[in-house]
Amino acid sequence: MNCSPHQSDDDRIIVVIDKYQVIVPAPKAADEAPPQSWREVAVRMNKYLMRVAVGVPRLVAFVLEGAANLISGLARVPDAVTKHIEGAHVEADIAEASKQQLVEQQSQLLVTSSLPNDARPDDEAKAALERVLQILAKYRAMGVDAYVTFAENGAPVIVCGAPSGSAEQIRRLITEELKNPKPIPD
Amino acid sequence: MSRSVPDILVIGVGGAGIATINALAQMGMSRQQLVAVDFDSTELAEAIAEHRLQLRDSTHDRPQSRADAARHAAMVIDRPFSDLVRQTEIVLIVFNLSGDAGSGAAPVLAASAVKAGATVVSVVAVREPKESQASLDPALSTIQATSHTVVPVKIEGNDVRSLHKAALGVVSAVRAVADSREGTSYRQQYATDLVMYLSNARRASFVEAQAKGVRHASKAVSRLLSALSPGELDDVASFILVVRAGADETEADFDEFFAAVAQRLPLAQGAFGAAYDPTCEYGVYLYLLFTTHRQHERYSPRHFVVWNPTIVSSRDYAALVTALGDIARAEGGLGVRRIDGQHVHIGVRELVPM
Repeated sequence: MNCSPHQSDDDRIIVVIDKYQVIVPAPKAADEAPPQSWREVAVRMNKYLMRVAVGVPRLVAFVLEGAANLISGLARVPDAVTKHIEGAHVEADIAEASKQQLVEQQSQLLVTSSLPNDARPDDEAKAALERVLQILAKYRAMGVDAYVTFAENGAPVIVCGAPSGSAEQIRRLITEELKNPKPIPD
Repeated sequence: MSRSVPDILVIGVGGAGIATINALAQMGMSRQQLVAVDFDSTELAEAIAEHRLQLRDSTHDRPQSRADAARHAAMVIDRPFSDLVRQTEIVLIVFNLSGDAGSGAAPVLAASAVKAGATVVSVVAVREPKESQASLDPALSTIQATSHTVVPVKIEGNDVRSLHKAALGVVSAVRAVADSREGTSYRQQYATDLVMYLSNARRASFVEAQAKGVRHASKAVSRLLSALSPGELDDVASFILVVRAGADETEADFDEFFAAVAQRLPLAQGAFGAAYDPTCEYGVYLYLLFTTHRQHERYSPRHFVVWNPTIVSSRDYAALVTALGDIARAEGGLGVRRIDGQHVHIGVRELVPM
């Protein structure tokens, strides 16, 4: 099937694909190894995300043949949208950095005072997962796709606000992303 | 397709494929789920399958290989085959790569099933030692190109029992989740995982082990994993473990196997299927389907957040990211950090044929 490559802007919806790396606490002394590698942490995170991973995007012939339908790049993104993306990134960065700073401070306190660590990691992770689910449910109620799935290399993918029925296209985009990886240092 | 529980249809192509579906039928699989495909009408007549599709060699007036004839013949039966697989979640195609009927017809049938919307797993017998590597590689590439997942199974001579076991491994996993139609969300999740893994994997490998009783879980798992080289063990990206055991085993017993495998493969994503089988009263069978990393995947980002900036608020986006960070922190990490991002347009109008 040959397909028309031409579509108006009205037929397209912008999505942002952000890639996140897990980071681990820095070693406390120059010769001390980090307590965890990012890879170990990332894998353990997946046990939570797998519990809520949903529907498998199905391979549909017309979607497979419609690669021209996916147009990457920054062109023709309205300024207002660009500003919103930047704003969201800044808000997320600040919130996340603040939490990371807190963890590092607590870590120092534990070292100096030998306080017992009463944290219950599983509960904390489940609570965080519950927050993810609440946000996704809110957007699903608005009639758009919002779900957790996994890329073909096992990387978790949180999708929020994508057009309804775009799961296969999202999957293809992620697959394309995986073909052009950037090395991540341990 | 909105069904949450996968259904399966097993297509046996050629002599080895039909022998496999016969074995599955004898193990209690419904004939309704079995399809025999072959040139040989006698072989088809003896197949224990509800559905039989005969490949008819209509191109005998032109000199060509028997595999080519099978490919053409498979195109002829495309219509009835498509009708059969249309309502099926998973199509398992079993054949011998060295056989003409299988190597010629199976890729056509696989493509047809994919087009009909099914997840297609091809379980392929590869004779060891490979007597004709040069001729088999293109055939393997062809079936890989048309299936979601290919499970190559090494066979020796004409002994295709390992092919039966591999097919049973997939069928057991699907049956386990199908049996849990009324079951807990715990098992429903496995159903989702199973379909996801089969859809995503391009090439899977298969190993199996047998043990007597679940008290030997770690021993059985060690035996199972001993079939993998140390390099392969490090490289396993995802796996499906299927445990087939008698009805006296509990879900906790099954979990023990999964935990033992997960412990040995800590970096892999795992899915799990458990099948109760009355014939396994004193034995436990383990089947492992696994996929390996491609080298570059070692460097891939670990988490993606795909979001629509015209709908999702900054606050919600930040909340998703910090929740991800919280999960990382709960597991001993410091949090998450964005390393890259890009904008992409998604077309929302169906493509118009020209």
